[in-house]
Amino acid sequence: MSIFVIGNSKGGVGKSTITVQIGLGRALQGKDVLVVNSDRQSSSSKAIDRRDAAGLTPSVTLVAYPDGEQLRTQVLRQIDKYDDIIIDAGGRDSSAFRHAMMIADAMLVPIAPGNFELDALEDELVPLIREIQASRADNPLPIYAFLNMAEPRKYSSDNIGTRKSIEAFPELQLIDLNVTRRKSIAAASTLGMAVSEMKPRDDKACKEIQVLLQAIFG
Amino acid sequence: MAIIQRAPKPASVDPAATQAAAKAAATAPDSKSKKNMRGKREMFSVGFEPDLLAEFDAARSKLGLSRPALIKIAVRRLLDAGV
Repeated sequence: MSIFVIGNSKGGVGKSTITVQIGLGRALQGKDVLVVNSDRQSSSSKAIDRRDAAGLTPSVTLVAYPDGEQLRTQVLRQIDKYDDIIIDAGGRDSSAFRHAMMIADAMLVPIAPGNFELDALEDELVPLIREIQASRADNPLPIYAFLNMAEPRKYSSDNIGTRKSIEAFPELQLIDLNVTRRKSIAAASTLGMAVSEMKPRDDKACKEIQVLLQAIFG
Repeated sequence: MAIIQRAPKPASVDPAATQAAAKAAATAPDSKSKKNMRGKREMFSVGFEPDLLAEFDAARSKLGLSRPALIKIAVRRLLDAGV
């Protein structure tokens, strides 16, 4: 079992969307998944609530630990009970985000194309990563970035410009996949559905989420 | 084959990781616990005669210790030995 953090100190980059898609994607593969929120009221909690209210199966177990120390203690206590633990963390620097980074086995950073996002990366996330890596000492956290809410054209100037800027930071490994800004992904996540469960089926969206799941879990 | 690698060891197996995490989280903007990692302590002042203080300072400078550090070591040893 592994603990993954989906995190970025910047809000609005699609962390909850990605958390829902990874969590449900794994549940549909037959895995027992725990989704952890570092905020009491987050979009991913509401999404899973909607799924459960609609009676869709399989689902994931959902918990919220806004307190950092509680998040650490509780998640480590439940580690053997689940195949995967996905923590939806951040939106800002917080003790919960930091504790999540301290216990995680890997972190995924969704980054949306745009200058504000890159400013936040340089001013907030990269210094935070450096601090956490120093605290983790001989057990560095593998941290991967990917473009989320990307422009539909893979080689659009915004996509390429953002990728180049991310590559300048050795603290993050940029993986070669984009999740495009698509209505189907946003709508599925809001409803607490995997994009593959949506009708009509959006094959391109399904493929992108599939590639993301493969990158994480093989 | 997964592209995403995992950390060399799970956080749960490292006994030092808990304290490291508490320290890392203590500097978060929302951290309630700006608590002293060394625990609670009470302060009081003690007057030393100049000669005793000079002797004490000479001893601690040889050891490279602060005044409070040497006093605490001395008190601990005294209590352990039985007053």
